[in-house]
Amino acid sequence: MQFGVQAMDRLLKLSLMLTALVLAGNADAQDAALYTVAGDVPKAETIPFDPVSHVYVLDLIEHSGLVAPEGNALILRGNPLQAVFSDNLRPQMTGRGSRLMPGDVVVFRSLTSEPMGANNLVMVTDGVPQVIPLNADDTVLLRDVTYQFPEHLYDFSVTQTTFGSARAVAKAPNDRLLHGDVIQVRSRTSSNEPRISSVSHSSNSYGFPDSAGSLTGSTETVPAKTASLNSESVLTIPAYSNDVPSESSNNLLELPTVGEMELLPAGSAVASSTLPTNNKDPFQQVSFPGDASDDSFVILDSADEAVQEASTGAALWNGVFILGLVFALGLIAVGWVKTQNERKAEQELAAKARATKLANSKIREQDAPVVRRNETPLPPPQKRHTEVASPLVSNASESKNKPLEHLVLGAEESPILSTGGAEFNKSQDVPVSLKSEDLLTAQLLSATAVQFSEVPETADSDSQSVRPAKALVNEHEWFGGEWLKSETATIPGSIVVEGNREVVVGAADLSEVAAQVDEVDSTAVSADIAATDTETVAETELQLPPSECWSDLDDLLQNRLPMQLLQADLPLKITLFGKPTGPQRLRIDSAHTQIAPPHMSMWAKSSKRAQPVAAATKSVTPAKESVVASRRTSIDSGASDANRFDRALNFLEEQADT
Amino acid sequence: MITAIDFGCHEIRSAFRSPKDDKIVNLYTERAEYAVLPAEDRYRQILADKKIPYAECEQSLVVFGNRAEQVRWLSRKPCAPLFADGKIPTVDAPARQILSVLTKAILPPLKPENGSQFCCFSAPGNRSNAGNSEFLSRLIRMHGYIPVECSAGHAVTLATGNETRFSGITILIGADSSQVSISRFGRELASESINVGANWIDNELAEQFKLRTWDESGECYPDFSAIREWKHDPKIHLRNGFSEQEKSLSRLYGVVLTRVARCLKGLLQSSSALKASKERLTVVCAGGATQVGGFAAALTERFVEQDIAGNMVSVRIANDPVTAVVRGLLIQGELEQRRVSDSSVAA
Repeated sequence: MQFGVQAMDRLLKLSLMLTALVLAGNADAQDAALYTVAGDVPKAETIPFDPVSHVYVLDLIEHSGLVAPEGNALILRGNPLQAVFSDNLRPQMTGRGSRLMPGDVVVFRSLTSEPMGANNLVMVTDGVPQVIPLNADDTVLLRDVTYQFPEHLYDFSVTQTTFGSARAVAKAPNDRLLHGDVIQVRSRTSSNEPRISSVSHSSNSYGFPDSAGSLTGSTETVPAKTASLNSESVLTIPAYSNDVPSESSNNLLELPTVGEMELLPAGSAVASSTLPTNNKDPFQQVSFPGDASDDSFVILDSADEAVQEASTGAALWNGVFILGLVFALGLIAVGWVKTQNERKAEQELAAKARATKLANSKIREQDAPVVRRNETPLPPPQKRHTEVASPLVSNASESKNKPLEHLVLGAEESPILSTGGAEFNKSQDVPVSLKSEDLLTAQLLSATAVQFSEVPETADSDSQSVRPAKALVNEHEWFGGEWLKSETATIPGSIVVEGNREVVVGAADLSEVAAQVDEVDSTAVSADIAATDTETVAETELQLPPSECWSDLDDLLQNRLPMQLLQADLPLKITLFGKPTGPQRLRIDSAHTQIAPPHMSMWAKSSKRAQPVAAATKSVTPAKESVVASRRTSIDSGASDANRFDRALNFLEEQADT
Repeated sequence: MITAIDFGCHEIRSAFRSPKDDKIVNLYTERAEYAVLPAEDRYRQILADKKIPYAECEQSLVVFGNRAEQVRWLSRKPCAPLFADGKIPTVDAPARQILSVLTKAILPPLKPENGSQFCCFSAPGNRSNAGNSEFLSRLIRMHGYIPVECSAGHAVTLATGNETRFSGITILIGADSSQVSISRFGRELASESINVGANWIDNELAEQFKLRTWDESGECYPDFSAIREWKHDPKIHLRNGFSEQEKSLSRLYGVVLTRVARCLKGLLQSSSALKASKERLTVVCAGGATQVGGFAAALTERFVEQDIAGNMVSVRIANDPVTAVVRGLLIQGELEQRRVSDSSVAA
């Protein structure tokens, strides 16, 4: 007991520590947003940017050392990585390309023949991208890159990028990787497997095995070929020999094990190698068995009583919690049972209604011997459109080859068919014997399986939809007579398909269509009853259509039929009623018309004119001033000739003065 | 004979199997617009000499269908749409009559030996506009066919869903509206219409860049034909626009696609599409506006923005984006015929 509590305590500490490490890692990740550029760039790398700044494609490519690029930048985003944008970059472009999101991988393909950096590829491990330069002969295999990830713990996906596109390819471990490939490594479980990010931070150089090193079993790290690419996250891949067993490469990478990451008690220098590995007790491995005089053990011994009290309290609370849980489960069970009863009662009621209607139907009267005639007949059901139609095609795998046969026969998705329990077997020539209820169900499950409602009278039932059409057509319009005739003509009603439902609307000959509708409606009702197992219908023989008749439609579905464009034969000259409205005109403001008097602008002009008049009157006599004043009043009320007259007076006065 | 009619705001198409050879589909395509000419003898003479069908209206001559674009230069007025704002014209009586003439012209002659009389059609705009559906149904019924209405989005699912087991997302960018539809095994789980389409883009471009044309009397009109001609240039690409007009086009497409993506996000979160949204779906786009370069990439970008790209397997344009709707309607009509014949056998 003491040992278990101790182990739990250590586990708690360990989980707290791991949580703190994860949070710290996230905090680091939030400090900078990582963007990766690879492909035909001088310096392929993962670049950290300020997370609040906006980063565009051109920023990233220029950061990689390529100025005025000409080519295509493919942007991969998400988990799993998918190509979301493809930007064509040109030297003369004014924009900065698409905006990038943190974690994006940009693979640039150049159109120019300028010498670029080494060929490279990108490996994304659990969301952490790394650029891996390829060696000169590009003989890097997939297993060279992913050898440190066991296949049973990790999934590998390779995305091959080309100019402007990317596609996922399935590659075997022995397949060669190409320049610009993006490898995504995802751990299958969320266990404490080491992440490549921690590996890359643990050592600046990270080596792949060469033949000599692997044979001797020694660990060698090969420095990166180019110093410019030798960053923390850059891996270099030397030539690899196929003779090297892949298992030996595991020794090269000294990954920190779980034991190394655990909290060690103070003073206990327990090496990870000394930890028991084959012990059956899982707690024993993490309990760090040591001397009995270990400080932590002593502390726990002294607190044994307190721990026991706490465990007793916890057991009490656990009991209360379990009781509450059982009570809640009981409530749920009671509610479920009640709902089931209610549903059952509703279904019985509906079945009675349908059975009553079926009994009244002329068509199904003979085929429905088992109908509950003792029940009180309910009023006929109102118009309703029940969504009992089935999917066009079943979920079967062979539906791709024969989609049309499944239009009628395939109904794996249908709840009705499954409750009916019928088995549809169809061969090309052999007639199939089916129960009529199954046939009816199959009809409902066919491509346009529908229920016909009762025929609504056009003028009364749906006035909102009919009245506008009636009111639209004038009797003087050239086809108005035919239009009005069509109201009373003997024409079957139109059918509106809504998804897989159909409704008969607007029929003129109600009697004919009503018979058809009754027939189909009773069919639908029968199918419902068959689904609820309240009716037994006699078996009938059915000759299903041969598969040849579906082949025509199959061609149409697969767009294999050629289309022949024809020219419509329009009448050369006709006369139409009414005046065409023509195209929509733009309303452009026209010039202002003559403004009605009084013209305020005229007053402004006259006031300007008055100034020289006033200046001229400085030297005239008061008698003359009165004359001028009178003239001014005449200007105010006069027309444009007044200005001219005023000017003439001024001229005369000036001459008189001189 | 089973016939399909796609009443589009830009073009009206009808398709049916050739009576001579079932392996050939006959297709009629007529522009849903008309040109107005002054009612003068010289114009009548020109139209008669060139054997161009026309209609005589009050104080004007009207040329409709494909020939409208050819003669509109005579009056220097742009063509007028038959479905203004995606609706049946209520104040334009000649437009309604032209619809009847075109419908009659593109329907094959009805013969008793041709069998079924189903005519599967899709109305312009969304399906909530009952006036459109009712008018077109009666128009088809007037010519002796049984109208079967089907949504354009569902028709695209039927036309393009052969490889995806008729499951996935269908996006149809039409002239006046766009439709988003989610289907699973051929059943339309959820769909929604957005009242923006390619015409809105054209309108905005004409307004921003003052692309106008004037007629003889000095009336001004937006020059949509010039914009459409420019948009059909194969060099136009939404991602690599250099000129201001190309950048504006890219922005306007972005607005439309953002609305589409937002609408799709809402549909995926709806309870009706819950079953389909658990799987990764294929997106198929159709409609004339999807033929511009870079459309799929721009749409993918909007899906990433709306955080629904993880629900998609791929985004692709239908092989026949323009005729996918009418082909899907024809499929719907043939399925309907089989259903009726099967039900008659069962009876």
